[in-house]
Amino acid sequence: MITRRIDSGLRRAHLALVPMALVALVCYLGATLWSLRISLSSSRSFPVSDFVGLAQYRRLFSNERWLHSLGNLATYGLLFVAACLIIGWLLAILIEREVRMGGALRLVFLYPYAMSFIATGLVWQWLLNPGLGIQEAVRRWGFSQFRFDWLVDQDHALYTIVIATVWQASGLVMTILLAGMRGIDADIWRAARIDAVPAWRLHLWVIAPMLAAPFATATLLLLTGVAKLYDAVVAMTQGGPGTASEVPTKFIMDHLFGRANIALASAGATVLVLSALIVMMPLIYARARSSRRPA
Amino acid sequence: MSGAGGERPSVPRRWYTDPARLGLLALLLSAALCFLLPLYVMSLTSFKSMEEIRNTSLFALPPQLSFAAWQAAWSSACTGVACNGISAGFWNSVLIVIPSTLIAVGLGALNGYALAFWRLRGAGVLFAVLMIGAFLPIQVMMLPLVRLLAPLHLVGTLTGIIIVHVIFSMPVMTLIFRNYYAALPRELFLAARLDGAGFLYAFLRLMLPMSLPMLAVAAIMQATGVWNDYLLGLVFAGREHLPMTVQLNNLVNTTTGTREYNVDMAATLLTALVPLLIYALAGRWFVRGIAAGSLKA
Amino acid sequence: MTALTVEQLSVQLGGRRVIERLDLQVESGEFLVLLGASGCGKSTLLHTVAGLQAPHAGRVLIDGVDRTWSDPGERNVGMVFQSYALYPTLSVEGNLGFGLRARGVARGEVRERVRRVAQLLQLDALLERKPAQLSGGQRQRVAIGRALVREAGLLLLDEPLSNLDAGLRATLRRELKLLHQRLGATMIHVTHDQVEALTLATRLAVMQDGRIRQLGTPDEVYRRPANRFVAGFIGSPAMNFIEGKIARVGAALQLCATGLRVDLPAQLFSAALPLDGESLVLGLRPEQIHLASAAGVSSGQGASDGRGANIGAGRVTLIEPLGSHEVVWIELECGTVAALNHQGQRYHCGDGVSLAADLETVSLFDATTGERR
Repeated sequence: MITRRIDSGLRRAHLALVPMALVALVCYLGATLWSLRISLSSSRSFPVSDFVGLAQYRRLFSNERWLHSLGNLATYGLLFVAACLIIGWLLAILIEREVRMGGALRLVFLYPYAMSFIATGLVWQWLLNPGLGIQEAVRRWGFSQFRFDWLVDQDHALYTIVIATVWQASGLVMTILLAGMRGIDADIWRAARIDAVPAWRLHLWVIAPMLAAPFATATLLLLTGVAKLYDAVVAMTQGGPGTASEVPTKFIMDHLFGRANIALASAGATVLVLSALIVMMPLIYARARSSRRPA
Repeated sequence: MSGAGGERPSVPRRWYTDPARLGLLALLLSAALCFLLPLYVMSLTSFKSMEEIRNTSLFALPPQLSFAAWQAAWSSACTGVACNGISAGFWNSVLIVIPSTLIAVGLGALNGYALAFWRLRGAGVLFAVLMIGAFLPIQVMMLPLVRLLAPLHLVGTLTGIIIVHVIFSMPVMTLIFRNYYAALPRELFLAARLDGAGFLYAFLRLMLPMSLPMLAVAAIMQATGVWNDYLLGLVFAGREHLPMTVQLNNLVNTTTGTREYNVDMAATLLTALVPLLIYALAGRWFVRGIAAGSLKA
Repeated sequence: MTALTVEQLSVQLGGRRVIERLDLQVESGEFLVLLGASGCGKSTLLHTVAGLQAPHAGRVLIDGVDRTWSDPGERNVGMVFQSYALYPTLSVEGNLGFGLRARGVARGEVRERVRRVAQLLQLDALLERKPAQLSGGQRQRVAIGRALVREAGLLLLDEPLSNLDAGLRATLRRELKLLHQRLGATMIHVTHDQVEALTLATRLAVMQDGRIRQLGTPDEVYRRPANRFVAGFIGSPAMNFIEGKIARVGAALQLCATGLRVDLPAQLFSAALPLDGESLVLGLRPEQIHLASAAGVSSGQGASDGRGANIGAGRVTLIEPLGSHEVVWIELECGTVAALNHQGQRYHCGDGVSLAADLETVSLFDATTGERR
């Protein structure tokens, strides 16, 4: 009787996981492989099943716009991840020390994360508007030579996106690190107080190294955001001025739909995925291994 | 050394006289102000008239509170072809969010339960594929998905966008429920099996009721994520079901003629209102969601 | 020289008075143990002395200086926590020197002081290791070393042995005692384990509900417990208590309970002699009771083996063998008592036995207040 029950239970379990299997194999794995296949063809508006080898990739890497977008993403990624980690860490340290108002202040730093990228991009587009935003406001205060027109400046437009997205994501890093700090033995804080060790020293030399896992998780999530950067660019600069803030995802989307060159777009997508995997794999592997080791 | 006491008596340190504490508080408050600035400016702008916007500073309070921009944003602003305001987008978003949240959370719980308690061969590999897929940019799967759903007449429909949201939220939902169930004592499950409970019975009667807080957290994360989505809605929702975020972008960035910044800001606030409200009411659950999603068992 | 003075200290935790007007003085070089069950306030007292907990009222003076509101770092105390709280990412050398470096002490001097303490505690071979690579005993020594490196005047230990299994606990306990003998440091140790308390302390404070019920040497606390609580807390198996009424016949005193009659020598009472008819509680430790088989002994006369005065007879109900001796539980008419039997397997369940006791060393407590008489 029990044996039959177990069998039927297992069968039902397998059945229940069919949607997950479908999604994983068809939607994730299958779609990625299909994209790869298209990138090896000469498809334009519709998929064509010929085989042109790596021609699309060659075209991709001689495309100015694509190369520029890759460079932009690298610059953006570096600045974004570094700024979020540092600001998030500093906020976590300050909040951890502030016992009374820490709880309320935490919510202030995390609320931007609840906003969509579109809303974030739009509000910062407004704030950084040269004629009506911060530049104008400061000029009205008397600093008539003040310049903050990065939004329309070719050399600085990318940084405006950094500002907007760092504002949105720093709270996330802070939350992850605070959760990690809560897992630290309470006596360590007390021992440091008895030893008269100043808080910043303790955080730098003892606490931060102990937070290696939350830091890795936060970095992983941030890197995911970097690879997927799209909405904020669309909302803030549409990739402009010119191609100053062009990013790979926008390139891909434009070529998938607007410019009707799906093979080129798929090649771009494949390159993006590979780069993302190469950068993130070490982190993913380290996290998987450390979670299997007993704490 | 004097008898009992020493040179000076010890006094408690009050927070308002402790320089270190005051410095800390000052730093935190200035940072908080910086973070609140965009929200502040957004709200102010939405209550001003265009005249006031051009003539007063960004940070100045509106001389008189005007709801005209809000009304325009809701019912008469132009979002692409139609000029019916962003309200249509609001209801579309609602229609998209509710079913996709229910389905995604339910499936996630079921998946997490099956993975945590039932040792199934190959499930680990499938799960790994799912998790890696979660890190990939959506663009790589976009076209194949369109090609997959088109013959089923699902592209541009409400059902289609809901299915797409369920697909892309499955990794995170499954992960947090799997971690949650893995942390529960396995003995409970074994006892239920010995008592004769089957797969679904143990899930519906035992595990699901035990995971109510997690269901709440997952629902909040999912609802917020779906509401805030732009790209999937743009590609899969179809013109009649465009979510609020897409309508918002259309409203702000594709206007011909003069831009009405107050309407833009009002529309942005309206779009951000639902998630911000959820956050205001259930901020702590948000934090739990982040903690749950960042743990990898 | 008084290392620590606590004056009328009151501490509140979450609205609850955990410590109530407590006074305590610890002399330099003492090993004071605070003993009590959980919730009695012993850890709170320690934390307040360390500066980790703010008092509600009263004063804390360390080496004669009022430190009631000083930061923990200013008090020149060291603390060993239950989990040892070693910095996991620093080596032993790093752990020992961390506090000094934070204060800006010159690198050469830091190295020198760390080296000296490491030698003292036999840690010199382990300086490069991380805490995760150390044994429990080694970790304890590093935790103590952290305080010694700063030349702390007072060493506070918050149940450092409670997390360990029995074997390791006994070994580390002895190490602690040896260390104290060698260093002569002033140590205050908190524990709920009376064996630890009795073996380690030069003086022992038994605490209950935020108050010290008795402060004295282990010997004093064991032989002359000040009240019924202390008497019942110290000693294993616990002291037997028999409640009875005083019968006074001229100068002779007798405690009478059902089926029991005990002649009480007058020297037992530290204060006034009790009146006729007063209720008192007799406290007898199991080792003070001597057993003899009931056969052939009539009640009221001396026991057949000549030790102690006969006090009554009863029946054996339970025997707990412990290798070197047995704990024999005897049911008397007025209650159940435990006695120790060192003479092999002499008794069996159901046997009748007669009891005798060394009456010069028993304790008597007031039936209502519990204080010693």
